[in-house]
Amino acid sequence: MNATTHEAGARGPGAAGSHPPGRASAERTRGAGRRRWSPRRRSATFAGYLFLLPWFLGLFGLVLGPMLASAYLSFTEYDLFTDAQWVGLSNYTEIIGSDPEFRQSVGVTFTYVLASVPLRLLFALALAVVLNRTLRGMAFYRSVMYLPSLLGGSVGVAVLWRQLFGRDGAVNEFLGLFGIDGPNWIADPDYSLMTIIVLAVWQFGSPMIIFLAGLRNIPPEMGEAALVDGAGPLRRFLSITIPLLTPIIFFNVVMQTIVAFQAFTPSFIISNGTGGPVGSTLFYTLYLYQKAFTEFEMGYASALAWILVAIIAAVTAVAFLSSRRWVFYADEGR
Amino acid sequence: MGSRGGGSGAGAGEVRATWWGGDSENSALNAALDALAQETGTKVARETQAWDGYWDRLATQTAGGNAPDLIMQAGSQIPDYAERGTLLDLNTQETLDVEAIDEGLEQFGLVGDQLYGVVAASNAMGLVARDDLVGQAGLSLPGDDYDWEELAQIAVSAHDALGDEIWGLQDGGGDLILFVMKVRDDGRQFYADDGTLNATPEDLTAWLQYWQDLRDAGGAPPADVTAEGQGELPNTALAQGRAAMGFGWTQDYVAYARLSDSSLSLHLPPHVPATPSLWMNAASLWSVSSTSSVPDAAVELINQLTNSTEAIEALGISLGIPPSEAAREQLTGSLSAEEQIAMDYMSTVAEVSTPLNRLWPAGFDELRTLLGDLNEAVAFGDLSIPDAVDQFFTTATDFT
Repeated sequence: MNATTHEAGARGPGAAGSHPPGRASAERTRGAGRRRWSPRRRSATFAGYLFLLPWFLGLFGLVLGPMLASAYLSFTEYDLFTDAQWVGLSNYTEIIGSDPEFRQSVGVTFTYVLASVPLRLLFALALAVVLNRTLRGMAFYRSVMYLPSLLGGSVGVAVLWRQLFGRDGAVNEFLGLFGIDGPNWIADPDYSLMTIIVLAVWQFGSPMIIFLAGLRNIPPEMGEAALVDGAGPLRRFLSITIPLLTPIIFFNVVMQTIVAFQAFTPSFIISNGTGGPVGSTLFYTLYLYQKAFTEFEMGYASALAWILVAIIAAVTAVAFLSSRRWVFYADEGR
Repeated sequence: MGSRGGGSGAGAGEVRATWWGGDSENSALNAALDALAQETGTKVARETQAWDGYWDRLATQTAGGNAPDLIMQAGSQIPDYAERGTLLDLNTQETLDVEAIDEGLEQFGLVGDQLYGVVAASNAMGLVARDDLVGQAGLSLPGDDYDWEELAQIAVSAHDALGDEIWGLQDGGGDLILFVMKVRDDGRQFYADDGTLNATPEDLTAWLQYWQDLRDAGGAPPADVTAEGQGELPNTALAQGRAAMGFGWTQDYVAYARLSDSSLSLHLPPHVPATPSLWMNAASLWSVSSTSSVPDAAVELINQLTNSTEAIEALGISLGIPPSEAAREQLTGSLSAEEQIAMDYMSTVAEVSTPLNRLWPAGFDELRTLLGDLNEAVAFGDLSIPDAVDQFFTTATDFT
């Protein structure tokens, strides 16, 4: 509708859309007959690209351009102030060959991804199942459950987390009621990553919404048929709901994994940008940030960024390959 | 002098200024700049940040050719910034009028003959004590002649008297400034005149061992308590009432006093009269970006911040102690109790200190961060003291 309106209206510059809306349908029929009249076609195409221009500017100026620049910089030594010096592959060989902090940050990040993604998805799915009913005020409960996802990355959470998980925090006071002397969850290197994983699990909002949509799409007849055959609720959930939900689960796993690899804010705000105590929360992106903006090794940081791209691409590829074995698309008729 | 610069109508241009600080610095500088705007008509756009993020941001802005005109700088950073040609040589600015500033402080902004920063405030290290905890423990703090061993004994007896969850002295093992003071206490300089390290592996071994022993004996809090207090003053063990004493700069003392429910006192750190370890330090400096389009107006702001009575009144001592005799005289009588204590303390320091033999060389900041990391790793038992010492000196020799 919009496209034809513009097409018909594109008689001259500035004429597009300037005629009264009432004439649009009449023009559309005439316009349809003129499809082959190429000058009009061309100017319509031109108008289309013109409308796309802002997006293209963003894509080339803010995404592809900087990516190309960082690809180039990853082969240089560049301190932001003086010109970049070409050093070939030496950034990459140093990172992979002899950088203990790189290894530390990869270890921390993989631990975080492997623990937080499954836990977050389990939480999201469990809550989606609970919220997938028709109850009074359900919209309210759904909004409330989404709330942590809006708060999770904010600086205020760092303060909240201290109050909860500090040495004298609420968690330890609660444990104290049972005579348990809890550790300093935030500042003890053995536990500090765990509290960040808890923070991540708590932000289950967006996968939960997607699961909810997926659950609503499962035709009730299947469950009813199984009910008639005598299947209990657990059986129905495992044999009908889960298989029909696998495309959604797959989507969530891939998206959440990619996001988790790029996690930056939780560690940055909780450790004050240090990755401490003793490197226990040195996420990959935080290490990259330190290299780039604290130590001014922009070339080295660019190389780190491209290695992260490679890691994410490899993990995503593995997920896609494995998906053939466990993801079930209803319309494939398998 | 002190009038408009260059006749180019610089007073009309807007100046971008940036500084680091918390609430007290921000409100004081905002008040001072507002007062100056009334007087001179110079509008100042302001960008402020806490110390931690400040340098990341300033470096990025500078590299992007978008540095603010008037920049708060630190003595430890000026050599790096000057070397890259990003700061204006203020000696070339004829309108600069900062003669009032104490003579000994000028060196902090000098690199060779070029002047890259004008001292905004001075400060010195001190030992801050909570009167409530010290009183409860029945301690008496030493006067002006005591050593690090005596300090350790006091810290341990504080812990013994105050119970398991309160410690004597905040962990200072990761503070390079304190380590520098310890080496000076022993009668040597931390850096040789050529900028190489004068401190020895034995010095550092003894230093890290001192704090490890203190933590083991309860004189200093365990590693997790220190780690939890990292970052901002309100979270530190001293502000939280978990430590009876802690080291801090004079302006930190004022900030602690405002944060704490107890009254605080300020003492000399361990002090050997024959070899004084303290020095009068530049807390911060004002610099002008070499790419500034309004250098005259920025220089004029430096003049005003140094000399104008309105600015001096608005700033008080929230940035540190004013670097000129005239400003200190003007403030006398108008200060709060804790500010007066800080100012008196600086007068004491002026008598018992000796200047540094040279400014911090490039790489000082990395060493500063590194010592903090190493002390933390030792405290958590992740690293042995000999390994920590090795790492420190390997890194330090990389710079020279």
